[in-house]
Amino acid sequence: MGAWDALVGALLAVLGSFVFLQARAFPTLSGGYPGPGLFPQILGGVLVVAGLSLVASGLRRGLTRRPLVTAGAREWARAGAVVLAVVLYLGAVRTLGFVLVTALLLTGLTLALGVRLRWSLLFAAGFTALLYLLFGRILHVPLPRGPLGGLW
Amino acid sequence: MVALILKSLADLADPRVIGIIFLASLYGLFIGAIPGLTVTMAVALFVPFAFFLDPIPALAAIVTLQAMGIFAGDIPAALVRMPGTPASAAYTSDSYALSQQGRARLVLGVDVIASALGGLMGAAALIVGASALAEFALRFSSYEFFWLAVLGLSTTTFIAVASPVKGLISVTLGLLLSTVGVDITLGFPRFTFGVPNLLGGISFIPAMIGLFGLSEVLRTVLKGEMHLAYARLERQPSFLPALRTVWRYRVNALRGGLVGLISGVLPGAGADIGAWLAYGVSKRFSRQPQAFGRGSMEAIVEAGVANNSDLAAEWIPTLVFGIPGDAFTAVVLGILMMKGVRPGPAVLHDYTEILVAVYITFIVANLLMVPLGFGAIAVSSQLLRVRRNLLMPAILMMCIVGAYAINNDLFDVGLMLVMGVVGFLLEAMEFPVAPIVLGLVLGPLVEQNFMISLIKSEGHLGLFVSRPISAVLAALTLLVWMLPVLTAVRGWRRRGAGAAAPEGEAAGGSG
Repeated sequence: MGAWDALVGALLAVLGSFVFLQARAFPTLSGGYPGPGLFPQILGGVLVVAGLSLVASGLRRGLTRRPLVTAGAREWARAGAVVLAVVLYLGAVRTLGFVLVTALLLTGLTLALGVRLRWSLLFAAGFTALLYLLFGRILHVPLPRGPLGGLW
Repeated sequence: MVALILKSLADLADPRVIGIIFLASLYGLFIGAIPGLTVTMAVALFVPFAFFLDPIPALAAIVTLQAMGIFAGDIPAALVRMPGTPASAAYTSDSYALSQQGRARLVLGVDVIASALGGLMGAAALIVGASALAEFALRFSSYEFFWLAVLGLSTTTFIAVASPVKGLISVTLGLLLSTVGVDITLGFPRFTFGVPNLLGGISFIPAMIGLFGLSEVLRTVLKGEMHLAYARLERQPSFLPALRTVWRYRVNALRGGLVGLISGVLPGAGADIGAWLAYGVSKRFSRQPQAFGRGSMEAIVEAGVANNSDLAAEWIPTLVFGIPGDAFTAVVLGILMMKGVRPGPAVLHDYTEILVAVYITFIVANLLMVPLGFGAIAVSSQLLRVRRNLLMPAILMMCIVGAYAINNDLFDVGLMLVMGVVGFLLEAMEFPVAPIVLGLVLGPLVEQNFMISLIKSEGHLGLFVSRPISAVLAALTLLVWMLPVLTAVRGWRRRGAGAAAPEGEAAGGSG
């Protein structure tokens, strides 16, 4: 844990000083009153102090490197697939539309988590329909439409 | 008053509202019973729906799903030795030990009755406490609100957190996120880096969904447990035996309820801490403290009442001061503001109808818990067999659509992703996540009251503590800040003295 604490503490101290310097440049109220910059400056200062003390305690505990999360390669790949799914959604939903993208991602993710193909397809179709009805029809959220207009 | 109660009852008796309460019950029971899925996540995923509902059904659903979820957390605690929500963690070993002795159904029945009892005690405290406190709080000025908000943030940051420095960093990050966007004093855009989507600030709901939804999905997937082994339920009627058991431990139940109320009203102590406190109190007064952790029924009753009486009490500071005590009530505060309800001392006067409806829902939900709770016990083994490799992709899609649905903006989905990954990493590094949410929600309140007070006092900081109530609040805040320092000093002294003082003595002295 020590190495991680030191690393994150240093990053936070850098972030804090960045915030502090940015906020110093904010305009002030007339008559010498502090303006929008005061509060962020205080927070930036706190972050620098807290970050540095985290570095100190990390160094004291020793820089032994241990993995942050212990998980097998398969589990990491699955977590990667979860993040990738959101990125793919962001990239594809405007061109392919909500229904198609949701169904594809649900199929892909359930397969990645070890569900058999038949169940995966069935579940993806059913849950996509449920989400479409719930958000698109009942709550009237304008879900992104596909190239064929309407549902697709 | 009677007319008002009748009016609220009529509002709640709308078949649509009843339907929503019923669905919220099932939803709460389901999420609570799945280990790893917390009630906070349940409410975060519910917010997009709350957005489209009227205030009364939205709040009724939240009250119900919370009460049901905290009870349902007891189910996997007894059957698989995994608390469904952190609030059940205190007495998980006891519940599991008893179900290993073939008394699972009795334990779960006791859990239902204790939870409902605790919920009703909490509802009574909320009804009495909110109006008493509101009267008192009407005298508050910007100084008092500033200190209250700081006190609330401080207790969340420093009490019951493994590392105070990490708590401080979490709360500071949350407050910093709240400063993003156009500032209220001069209209100056802060930390927007030319991104127009950031001018309005960090949207609270997508941030919330990322922190509690996506990060939970990542954690579960990394753990890799897709199936759970569970204990079997014996076939016996359990309602009357459970009722008799709770009656036998009625003193524990009452004391647990009181402890839960106290931890609920205190900012920063949620239902999980309430349960641990009650467990500790119970053990101290017990004639069989050696049974604790090995299947003590009195511990289950006392802590089981406490974690539910805590829930309604949490709403008191949230409604009267606008200062939530934990992540769940922080979400509630966000929803209230989204619905145009401004919490504060005048809340009872301005939104009487909504509040009376909340009171009634607290009572109804806890009465409804008895039949629905026993129903959930009957299907509990099916509940625990729900496959996570289907559930996790479903929750992920709910996170995506939910984040999008508030502003119909894909930017919010990106925000949800970033907050989810950051929240996951921070939690892996043992940073508490709840203070981030509290900071994000309370940030504008703290800054506004700080700036108003500063300008009013013309820069004389002494005026921040010149009013009696503000001085008391400031002193309390200072005390909370001193706690980590005091513990550290005591740690050094004990190490210096060669660990002479036994652990139990020191822990008892600090109570």
